[in-house]
Amino acid sequence: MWLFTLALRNLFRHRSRTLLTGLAIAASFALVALHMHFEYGSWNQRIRGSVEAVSGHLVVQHPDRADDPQVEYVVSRSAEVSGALQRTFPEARVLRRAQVGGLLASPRNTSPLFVSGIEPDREAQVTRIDDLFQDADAARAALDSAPEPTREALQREAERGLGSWLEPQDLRGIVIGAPVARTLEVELGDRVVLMAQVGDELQSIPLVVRGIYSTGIDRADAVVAYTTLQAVQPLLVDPKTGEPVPDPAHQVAVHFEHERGLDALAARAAQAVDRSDLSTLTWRQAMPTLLRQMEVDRSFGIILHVFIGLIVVVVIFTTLLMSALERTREIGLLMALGMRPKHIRAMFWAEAALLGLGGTVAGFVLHLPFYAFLAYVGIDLGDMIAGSSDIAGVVFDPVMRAEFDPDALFYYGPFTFLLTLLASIGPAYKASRLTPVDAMRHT
Amino acid sequence: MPILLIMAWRNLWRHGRRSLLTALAMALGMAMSMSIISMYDGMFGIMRTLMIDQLLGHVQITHSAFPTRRGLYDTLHHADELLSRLDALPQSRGAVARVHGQALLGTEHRSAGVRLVGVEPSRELAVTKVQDTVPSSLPGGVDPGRFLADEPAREIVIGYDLARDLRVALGDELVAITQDAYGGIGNEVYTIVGLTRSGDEAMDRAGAWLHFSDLQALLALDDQVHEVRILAASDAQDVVGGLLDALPGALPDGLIQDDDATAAISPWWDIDPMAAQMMEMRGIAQFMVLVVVFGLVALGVINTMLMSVLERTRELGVIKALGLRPRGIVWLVLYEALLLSLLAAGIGTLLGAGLIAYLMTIGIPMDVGEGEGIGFGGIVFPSRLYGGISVEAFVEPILGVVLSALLAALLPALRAARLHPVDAIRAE
Repeated sequence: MWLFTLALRNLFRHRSRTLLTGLAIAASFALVALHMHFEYGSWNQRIRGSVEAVSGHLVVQHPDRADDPQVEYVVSRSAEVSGALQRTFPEARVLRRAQVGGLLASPRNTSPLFVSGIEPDREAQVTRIDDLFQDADAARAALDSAPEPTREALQREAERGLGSWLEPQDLRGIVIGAPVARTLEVELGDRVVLMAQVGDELQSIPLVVRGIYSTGIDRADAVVAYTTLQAVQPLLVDPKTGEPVPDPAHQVAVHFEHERGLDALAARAAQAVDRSDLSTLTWRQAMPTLLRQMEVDRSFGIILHVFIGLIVVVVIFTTLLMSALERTREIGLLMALGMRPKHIRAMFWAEAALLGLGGTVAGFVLHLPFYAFLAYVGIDLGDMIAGSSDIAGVVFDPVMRAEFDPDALFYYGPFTFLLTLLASIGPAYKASRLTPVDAMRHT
Repeated sequence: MPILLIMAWRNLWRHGRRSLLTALAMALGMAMSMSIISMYDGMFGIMRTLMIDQLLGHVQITHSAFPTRRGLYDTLHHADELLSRLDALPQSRGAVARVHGQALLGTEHRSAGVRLVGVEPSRELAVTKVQDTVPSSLPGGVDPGRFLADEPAREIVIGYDLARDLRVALGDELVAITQDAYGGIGNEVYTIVGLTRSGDEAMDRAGAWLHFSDLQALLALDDQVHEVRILAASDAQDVVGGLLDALPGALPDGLIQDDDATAAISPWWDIDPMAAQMMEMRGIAQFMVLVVVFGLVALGVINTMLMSVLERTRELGVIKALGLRPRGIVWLVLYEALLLSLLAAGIGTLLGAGLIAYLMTIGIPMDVGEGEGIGFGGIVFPSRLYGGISVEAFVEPILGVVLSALLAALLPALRAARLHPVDAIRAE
């Protein structure tokens, strides 16, 4: 204990130097932690969007579909599967989906796109596309009485959704993106034809435009449309026989309120489904590329963090070394009074430990207000974050928000502390190798 | 003045090790920002080539309705005459005409909705180098083949990802079915001669290239095209601006044969504002990196300079007593910081140049499987990213290290200047 008392006094004797070194430690920790929170937030956002639109927390599908999303990899008797899952997880949202690629044609033009066949009421509980229509309706209602400054924002909001989301019984309805509506030159209520290949035949499914949405990201909106599952079911046939499959879908997705204990839930789901021709996957298994992308991205981040750490090590090393040289006489005196070299070293390490701990804690406190800003206000990227086709159909929130990455505290915190200790090894040895007589003679 | 500089130089070497270590921290910061800028040079270089050379061009000339509705009938006539006029413009590196269509493309077993792009291969080779999107190799030893031949031969080049989805390979035949300009059904059989992997996700997953005569035939478009794009002699805003000014005079009569429409001349940042924003983001990101790195470096410099001033309190008092003005003291400390930062800049440049050389030759592996790298905004980067080199990569970090050192030294310098000679000499 006396060691730390001594160390603390030493630190206080050089207040401004201690403060500056502590600040360097604190700033480096704060910067890295903020970077981590921001990355964590944006990845979570991307994952949540993909879980919403692509996989669900759990997904029951054909075993080969995760690697190769072919139209023929179907779930037959999908309503049975969905029912079994709903009975097993009464609180969860269970929904069926099918996705087919084809050409949407109007009398004027054609547009290649993916059509999601969904269960409208269930899908509405998960996705945010349907909210665009409600928000647009509300904006239109408010527009007439709105004061001038807010009109422009309301107008934009109103343009996000024309018409309405699909009704469950509406077997002929389709909701398309605004760019598709422009290309096809169609309006609400107009007829379009979905052309797709089934086996070796070209099938045409007549549909009526019920809604036109705009998430603000044209590239994504140009390739995804929504219709009912029943409307696309005729396109899902057995590839070998060309015969219809009973009640087909491509996936049955399960959404939970949170994803704790997902592996156990997956096991329960597989048991409930009890079909050897289907596999039950967690979103991590269903979207391996997304996960791999996140890993690569994060490992790139770690290189940056280590580099920042390196700079801080050199700064701390310099400070401690100076502090050792400056205190040569005093160290000589301590040694003459009977302190062993190991005590001197321990004294230096104690100083470094206090400095590292104080700096890290200060950095943590310092970064909280910035974190709060990034988490609650966020950075508005507008339409900078684009939809790429593998995540198309995901409604992005253009505001990127940080989320607290526990790794920042539990991995980078100790790392910063260890870096400080590491930087103190050299100076401590330097100080402990002095001989008392020479040291005291030193001016 | 020079005497202060000499004094500063000597002061620096009174604690040679401390100076060297501080310079090392600064140099590390420099090397770090140089590597990051080099990686940005590499990544944004890929984005630029993809977006400007291959996806957008610098300026596009279209029917005024084409940019928003991309209609089959929104065409240009007499494209040949327009192209030869554009070739003659001094601000232009070359121009190409393109035809756009959509079709259901597939075999008898499976098909996909696909964007068809019709090009004139010989012109593209000289201007956009779209041929480069056919890579030299593909994962698993798949043969990527070649780009389209110069003459129309019902050849097709499709995205590698699309080929995997359709389960087709080089030499296979694909049927395209579409609505033609007369509202009828157009269809034709094409032979796959090449697979592309351009990094543009939309084209790689759902796009195909045809000879533009073949596509005109499929769509019953005669000799009309949808778009003429021009690449400017350089990316510089004034060159592209000059091109934009020169274009209206270069348009031939009868280009648009549609009474309700005019010709639209659109620069790439209007065609794809998102692409423009992504390119702009570079400046912000780079600035943030410099601020963060040199902010940390500055803390180190403040520390060293403060120590250096504090330990010389008596001596500073003596020089002051001998008649040096406070301003002189400030200069003395600032010179010391300047010399220190120049020393750091020297070490940092060597260190950074080494890192840049490494990044340019060995690069950073970013493989997320299937030979693809990370994706961002619809662009898939290669599985190994290489750094680039630019004047900026050297100039900005050098400026950063010098400015941050001077700024950081200001506080210690002012503190030194404010010392009272008598108190200072008395100080222990």
